[in-house]
Amino acid sequence: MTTFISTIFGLAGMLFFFLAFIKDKPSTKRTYKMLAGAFILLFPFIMTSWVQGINTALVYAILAIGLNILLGNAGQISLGHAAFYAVGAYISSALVLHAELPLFLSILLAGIGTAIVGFLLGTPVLRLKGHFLGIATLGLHVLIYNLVKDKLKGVVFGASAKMPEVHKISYLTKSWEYSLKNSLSSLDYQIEILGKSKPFYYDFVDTITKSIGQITEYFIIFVILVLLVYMARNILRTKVGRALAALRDSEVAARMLGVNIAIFKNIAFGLSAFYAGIAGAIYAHTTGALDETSFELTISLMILAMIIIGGIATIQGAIIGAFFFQVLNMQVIPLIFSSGKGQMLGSTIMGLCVVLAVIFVPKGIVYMLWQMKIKLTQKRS
Amino acid sequence: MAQEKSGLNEAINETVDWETLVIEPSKICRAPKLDGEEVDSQNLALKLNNIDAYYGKVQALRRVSFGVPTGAIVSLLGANGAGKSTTLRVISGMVKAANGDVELFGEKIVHISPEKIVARGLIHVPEGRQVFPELTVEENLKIGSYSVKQNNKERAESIDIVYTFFPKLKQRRNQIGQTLSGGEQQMLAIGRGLMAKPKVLLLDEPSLGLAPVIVKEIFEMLKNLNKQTGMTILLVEQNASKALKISHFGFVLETGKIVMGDKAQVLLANEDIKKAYLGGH
Amino acid sequence: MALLEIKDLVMRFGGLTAIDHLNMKIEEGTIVALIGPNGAGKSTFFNCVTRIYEVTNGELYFNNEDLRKYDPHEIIKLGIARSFQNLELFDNLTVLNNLLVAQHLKIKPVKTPGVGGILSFFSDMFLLPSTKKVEKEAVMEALKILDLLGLRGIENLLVSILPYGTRKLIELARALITKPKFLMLDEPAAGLNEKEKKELGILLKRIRDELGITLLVIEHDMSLVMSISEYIYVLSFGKPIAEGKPSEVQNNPAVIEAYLGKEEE
Ligand SMILES: Nc1ncnc2c1ncn2[C@@H]1O[C@H](COP(=O)(O)OP(=O)(O)O)[C@@H](O)[C@H]1O
Ligand SMILES: Nc1ncnc2c1ncn2[C@@H]1O[C@H](COP(=O)(O)OP(=O)(O)O)[C@@H](O)[C@H]1O
Ligand SMILES: [Mg+2]
Ligand SMILES: [Mg+2]
Repeated sequence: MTTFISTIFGLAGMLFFFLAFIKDKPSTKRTYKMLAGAFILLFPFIMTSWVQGINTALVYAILAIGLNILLGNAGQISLGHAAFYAVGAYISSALVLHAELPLFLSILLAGIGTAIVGFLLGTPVLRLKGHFLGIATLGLHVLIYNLVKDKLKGVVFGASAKMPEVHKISYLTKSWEYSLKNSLSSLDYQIEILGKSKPFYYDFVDTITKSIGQITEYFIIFVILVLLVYMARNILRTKVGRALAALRDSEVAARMLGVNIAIFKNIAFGLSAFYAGIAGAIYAHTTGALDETSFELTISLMILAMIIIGGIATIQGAIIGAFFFQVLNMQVIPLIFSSGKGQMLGSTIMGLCVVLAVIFVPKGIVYMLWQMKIKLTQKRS
Repeated sequence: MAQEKSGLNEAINETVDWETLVIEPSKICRAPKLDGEEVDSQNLALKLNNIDAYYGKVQALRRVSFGVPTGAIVSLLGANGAGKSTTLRVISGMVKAANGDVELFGEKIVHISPEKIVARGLIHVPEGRQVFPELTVEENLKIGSYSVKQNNKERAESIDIVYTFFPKLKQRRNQIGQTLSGGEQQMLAIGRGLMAKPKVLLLDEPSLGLAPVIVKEIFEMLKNLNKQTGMTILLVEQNASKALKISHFGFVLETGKIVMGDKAQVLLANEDIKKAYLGGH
Repeated sequence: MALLEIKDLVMRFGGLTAIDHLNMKIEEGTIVALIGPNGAGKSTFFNCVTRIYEVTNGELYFNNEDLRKYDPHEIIKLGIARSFQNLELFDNLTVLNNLLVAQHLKIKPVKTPGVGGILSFFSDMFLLPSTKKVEKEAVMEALKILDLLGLRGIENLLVSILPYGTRKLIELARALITKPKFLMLDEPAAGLNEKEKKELGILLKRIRDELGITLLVIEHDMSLVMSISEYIYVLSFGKPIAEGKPSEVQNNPAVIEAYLGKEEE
């Protein structure tokens, strides 16, 4: 029964997003946007079992937006983007653990710190072009991966490599969790000892109580994502974004117009590192377990695949790609292959998806949607 | 400017019998070849019938019909944005026509992929010299012959022929495309087209960016090519007077429509054409 | 003192000498043409002046400044703008955005010296009124230039879909919008028909007369070259083979031999 409701709810939500995207008439569009907004707010309470997976998707979306600035907008490839993800995670962890800074400040500083690292590392690396740049960024990844493995893990976390509960985002609503638990146990008391019948909302309160940490994370990450999207959109539409697009399309023309391409390539690297840093920091404060396996090369490649599938050089594309992958990964694949085997086959299927996408929607899902939109308006006129 | 143009449009509409011109292209194709021989106007290498073409919502071609007789040189004239390049793209299959059909030697080719059209002997040298930037001159040329399966000896011969037309390319044979001067790239693009020994050659502004001497040479070369091999050539040119001088026929496109078509000499003498395209005074 | 002065310029690529001992003086307010066969080194000369190529030998002065001290992206600050022979537009951007990139240096929401760049960046990030103001000004400027060239109405189209000749004009617009002192155009008339070429000739003269911009134009269309230029340099295989007034150059046997070809009719 609950799975049925949540399935219907999820499908309706996707429909709202789709319609809000595709409709032209402002009033209709607004209606669907509001419905989509309502979906976002209600989602964690109705589809509670999905929340954890979607949280990961939100973090990936931040990563993908960042990489897309570098790859799609500035035309520079990075195959080792997970390195910056790690840098962000470690900076933020170090800040809360050793400098005892407040959570959100340290997430912000982690972003800025990672941006600076990216900006500086950009100088030697971005001299290179094409495959050489790809290889260099791969090297960067190996470097940071080993640094984490051999040094940072021990220095930052001591022996455990665990983030204490107090520094997690979920800790923000710990008090609510306690009071919910209290009321649950008083309900339990009434049911079991006093023999009252189970109220209809019991199961609901029970699930919410179990998942309140994740739900908190969901809303917090969501707000951060919205903020980051807003910033990315503005940056890409103004001076810096135009300069990046210019150097992507023609380096010599950009230079002739006064764009210092060396610096702007660094800026692109810095910006995309900023997003990766924030994503890494959020990751640190949600999972709490940080070792080198969290920053495997596969993550870099997966983010790349998300951009390709979602739609290169667009913010929506990065987000859609991240969700597409994560939903596939968390829900569809386990559904097809019951446990165990699913994990192995998962990456195979993802690879297959990328291949299929490159063949059938070479410009990504977003462009396909745009195409649909054009067709629809054509028909009407 | 726009007003003048529509004025011309009306003038042409009055003087030209639209229906015959548009629907039965072969009717206006009966004319002597430059050297006296008669071109068989019924034997069309290319025939376009009522072509409509769109880019997204923008209609670029409207009911375009004309014919290119086998063994003739035909010029397609028109202002910037008139749809000349689009016409060539439709013929070579790069842009799909929304309506109408294209016949190559009597066979419909609108639903055939560009590679297969090439295999049937039609080569399109696009505008703006699209050479492979990282390959050398010689490699670029070799690629031009892949569609027709030449063995190494034949290929070397074809390359030699191109080099005799463009000695400059021979000098630069090992330089990569990217660093060639603009004019050299243009020669390379045309040369690559010739490598496949096409029966029908579509050229989009071949004289673009070439020095006057070379332009002369190129037009001379096209004339010879046509004379010696009987290659059918459909030529898009801004340099209208030069193009018409070596052509048998000409058609004029305006905002996606064929507004005029006649023997080249007739067009050369036409006052409206002179004013609009030949830089007459 | 000449606006642009080139002394004994040599540019070699490996064994190839693309420019061989070129001297040139361009006076302010003139229209000068650079002609010569394909591969003569004309575009290479532009690339030398704009510092894309490091010259092998020779001296280049603009307004008494030694150009060799500058990086390619600083050339525009001296007031030099150019177009490219093979179109170097930003293909994935709209016409308007191409013209906004050209105002890169001018668009600066916060002008505080030193930290202005970073503050501007934050202003852009949150679309503060300061950003909105300069962006709007830049858009107005772009529309003005499009009006001048008779290109209004296409500002929101991607440049890659426009016909070749129109794209050539957009390159001209993009160079003009930087308000240069000196404008170098590489075959601006390629892809235009006779009528459009005439209009371009008139426009180039207006650019000089009304905006006071000095022009150096590479062009193969001799009627255009003859009608606009006051002085002509001729290069062949990298060597300067003639220079002078149009009438002199036109009748110079060496130029006819190497470049113009004999008149037929
Ligand atoms: N790829 C494209 N997408 C959209 N519109 C295009 C594209 N290519 C050309 N057009 C439009 O189609 C019309 C005809 O263009 P074109 O055939 O290139 O003209 P011509 O070659 O005669 O100068 C123009 O209005 C042009 O803007
Ligand atoms: N980067 C380069 N490397 C090697 N050769 C070059 C390079 N740039 C130009 N050339 C050569 O220099 C010569 C001059 O080229 P260019 O200046 O483009 O000629 P044009 O006078 O037609 O503009 C040509 O032969 C060209 O192949
Ligand atoms: Mg064209
Ligand atoms: Mg050149």
